[in-house]
Amino acid sequence: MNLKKNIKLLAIVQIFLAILMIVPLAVSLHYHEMHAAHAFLITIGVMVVISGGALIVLRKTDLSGLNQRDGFFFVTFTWIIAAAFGAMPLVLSGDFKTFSSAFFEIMSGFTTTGATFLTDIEACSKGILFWRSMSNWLGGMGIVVLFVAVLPAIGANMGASTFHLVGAESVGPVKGKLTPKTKTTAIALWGIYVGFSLLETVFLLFGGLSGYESVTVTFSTMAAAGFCVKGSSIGSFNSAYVDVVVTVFMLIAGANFALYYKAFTGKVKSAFKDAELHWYFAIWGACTLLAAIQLQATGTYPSFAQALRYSAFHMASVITTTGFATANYLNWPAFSIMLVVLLMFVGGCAGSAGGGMKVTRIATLCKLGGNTIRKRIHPTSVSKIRLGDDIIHEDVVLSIGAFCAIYMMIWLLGTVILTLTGIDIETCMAASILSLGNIGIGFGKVGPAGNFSIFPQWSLWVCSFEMLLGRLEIFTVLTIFSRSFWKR
Amino acid sequence: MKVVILGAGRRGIRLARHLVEENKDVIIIDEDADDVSTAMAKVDCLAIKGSGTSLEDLSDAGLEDADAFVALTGSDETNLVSSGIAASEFQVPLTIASIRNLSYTGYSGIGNSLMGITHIVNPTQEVAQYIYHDVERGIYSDVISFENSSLLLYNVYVDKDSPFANKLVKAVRKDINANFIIVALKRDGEALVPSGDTIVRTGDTLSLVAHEDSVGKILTSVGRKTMKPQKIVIVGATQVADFLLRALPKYQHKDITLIDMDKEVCEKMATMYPDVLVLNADITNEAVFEEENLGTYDLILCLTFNDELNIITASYAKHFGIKNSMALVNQNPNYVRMASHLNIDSIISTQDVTVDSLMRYMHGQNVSSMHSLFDGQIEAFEFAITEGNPTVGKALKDIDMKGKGIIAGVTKKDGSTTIPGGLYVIEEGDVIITIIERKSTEFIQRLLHVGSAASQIKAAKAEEAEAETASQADEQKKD
Repeated sequence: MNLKKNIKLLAIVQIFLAILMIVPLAVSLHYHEMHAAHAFLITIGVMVVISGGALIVLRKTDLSGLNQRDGFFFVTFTWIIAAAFGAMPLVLSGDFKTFSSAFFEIMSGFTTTGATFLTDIEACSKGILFWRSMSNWLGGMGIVVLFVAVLPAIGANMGASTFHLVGAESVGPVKGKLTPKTKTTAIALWGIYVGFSLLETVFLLFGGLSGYESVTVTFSTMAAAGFCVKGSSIGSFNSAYVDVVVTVFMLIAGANFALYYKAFTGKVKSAFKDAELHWYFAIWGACTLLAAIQLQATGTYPSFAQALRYSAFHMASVITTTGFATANYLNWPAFSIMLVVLLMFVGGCAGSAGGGMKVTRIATLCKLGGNTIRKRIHPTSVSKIRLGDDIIHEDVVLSIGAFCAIYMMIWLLGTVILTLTGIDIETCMAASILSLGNIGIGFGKVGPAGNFSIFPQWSLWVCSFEMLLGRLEIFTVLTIFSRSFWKR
Repeated sequence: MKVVILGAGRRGIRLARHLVEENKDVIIIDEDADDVSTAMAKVDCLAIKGSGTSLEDLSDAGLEDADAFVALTGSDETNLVSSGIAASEFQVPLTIASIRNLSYTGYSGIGNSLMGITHIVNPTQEVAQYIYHDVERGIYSDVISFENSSLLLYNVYVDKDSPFANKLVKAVRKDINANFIIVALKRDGEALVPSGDTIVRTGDTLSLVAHEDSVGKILTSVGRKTMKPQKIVIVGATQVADFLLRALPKYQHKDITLIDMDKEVCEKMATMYPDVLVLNADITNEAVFEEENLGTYDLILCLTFNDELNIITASYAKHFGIKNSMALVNQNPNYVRMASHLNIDSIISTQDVTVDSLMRYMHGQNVSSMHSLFDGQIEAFEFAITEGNPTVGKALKDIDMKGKGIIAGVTKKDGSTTIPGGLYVIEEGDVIITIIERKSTEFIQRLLHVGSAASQIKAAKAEEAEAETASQADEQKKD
């Protein structure tokens, strides 16, 4: 691993983030929040001085020839640095009392978790809340992907290095490309992302939301993240129109962005033939329908249409790991709650903005189960695991198996550590999975109405780490902690 | 420009890397899933698993809007068929197939008529040509010759006794009384185009461009001798040897000894080249060296299919007393770097030579030679200044290459060759040799207007179509 090259790249990313922070600074100035504006100015200053110094010292280091190992290191530290500096304005403005809680909040933002430490969201300054939502949006499609797409310095002379960088950040079991060049792939992904975001903002503006609300809600929807500038999430707007728009865009954010690229470049048919997409909608549709039927039958909601509206919204919110809420689903009957909890273990599609284990992994595991049964009946049978028309390579199946096993172990281990806080087991289990899956709402005391203020400061770091593990799909981060990574 | 390469072997990946460095979009197709993922990890390209002869897979690779298609699999037939499909079914303007089998190409190669394929490259023939040039010039170390010019490009290592050491580039040129120019310098693995004020240090490798007749003078001043070899021993009666013998003049055959283990092949060669002394023997047998007095030879060419054997034999032959040795590397071009530490004068990789030749072709018809130096960090082009080139009428000092390139030689219409000074004014019809840093290839190409083969062919086709519509219009008028 090449430490100098990595530090130089990290310094460039930092300057890039400092430039992006000018946006919330402008918002603060617009709302005449001088304390928040100061906080952003100081943070930007500190970031520029540190990274500028590093760049001067390393001006001769050339950036070519980064390998996969560098990719793991660079991506993990990009996210840690982004969260650390992103947390500074939260503390400096006085809205957050401790660095632990601010770091937790912004890590929850960048990893698109959407879990909050705040008890009274609307008491915060608007600039800070805007930055919180913006961190969602930046993290959704990936900081490194944006970095590769936008910065001209990162391009041809880095050769295949950029592929390793983007690969370490993108989600899903198989890393691919849309176009021959990594840079144009990154530009295409962000282009689609920005396009959908603009579309949703316009739809929300039609729904009567203010410009500020529309933009921040869009930020969190398209990133499948879940921060909201209102106290009771999307429920605050109390509008069926907004619910439907947000549901649709959550589902869009949770599907594979490569498919949109395919569809936009004229291969609509093959985009719709994608097996993962079918699984994704089948799982969401089945859960939505079952819950809606029960919610109407038990009289929780007066009409089937009402039941369908709430059930569709929350099922979409959880499967895409967004974590918006329009009602407290913990007041629903047990079967419907359990359906919501079940979806927490599914997550979005590969190559989407969503978190979780990903539909393609779950589907592959189901197929693997079927294959194993067939092997028992016909011991000599030869069968490949296929998803739609694609055959899943055995190496990939193995890595999917390992991923899911480690995922569950981390969930349980996180729960065990969190119970040291003395909080009840149900809440700890929920906190652990909602962090690891980047969901943001769970059950117990951290349900749609709850928040993390009940947790002591030290436990917030545990949750922050789980969020990072979940967003970077475990192995990117864990590799850095293995001993052989640092040995030759 | 979008280029589709069939075959993710070493050749394919090497070509892809060169093309990506010139900012072209590259898509690689291969049937092997592992090779596909390796290609993606090594080069910033898109790699697709698929067959080169499947219409569906080729369409998936985006052949409809590709500017060039290059087939480099190990199978001649696959290469032929896939290039044929690319040319006929997808109308790709530039299609290139790599073909080894002589029964397809014949000794003289085939024209452009076969299945609509624009260019056929025979790696064996390319490498034989390269070796032939080296043997003819009598210098065996990284010498590059140009098609239309008597100038040569070659490398000199600067040791502490070298007259070049610790001097400014412009001072070196004054000190040695010969007509030459330093075009590139490699220090600590990094290559650059030097300016007059660059200091040459011990341990640098310099690339010089000089006239053929002053090469001897310069090499003597750094303590090396050159001579045209009289007695040559060739190990391995392979196709490369066949091509080489065919190219060498008949009278030279008397001084050539060919050694091969296979009796049948020996008999065939002996029939074809009666003047050559053909030995049916094993070169690894110590007795061969002594019995045949191989120590008295000037040059050994190791051309067998076995890379390791070639390298070991070439190195051993030097110890035995053969003055110069040359080894051919067929499979693994990485051996070139590894074996450069052995006492071998020249190591030639078939793949590097082929890729150079392909790049040359793809850079366009007005580029007659293209070579890469120092692991491809530096490129040397020879190209013609055609009508309408923006540099016509400009003095060299007025062309701002930003220190990334150098114009090292000019061959005028009358055939005279010079190393130009800053005041030289470029004329139409000049053939120019330029040395540039790979990173800036695109910038220099734009500056000097070096076209690409694909765009030229496209333009030609457009013209044809225009002419056709014009003639149709004429016919309509007549009606």
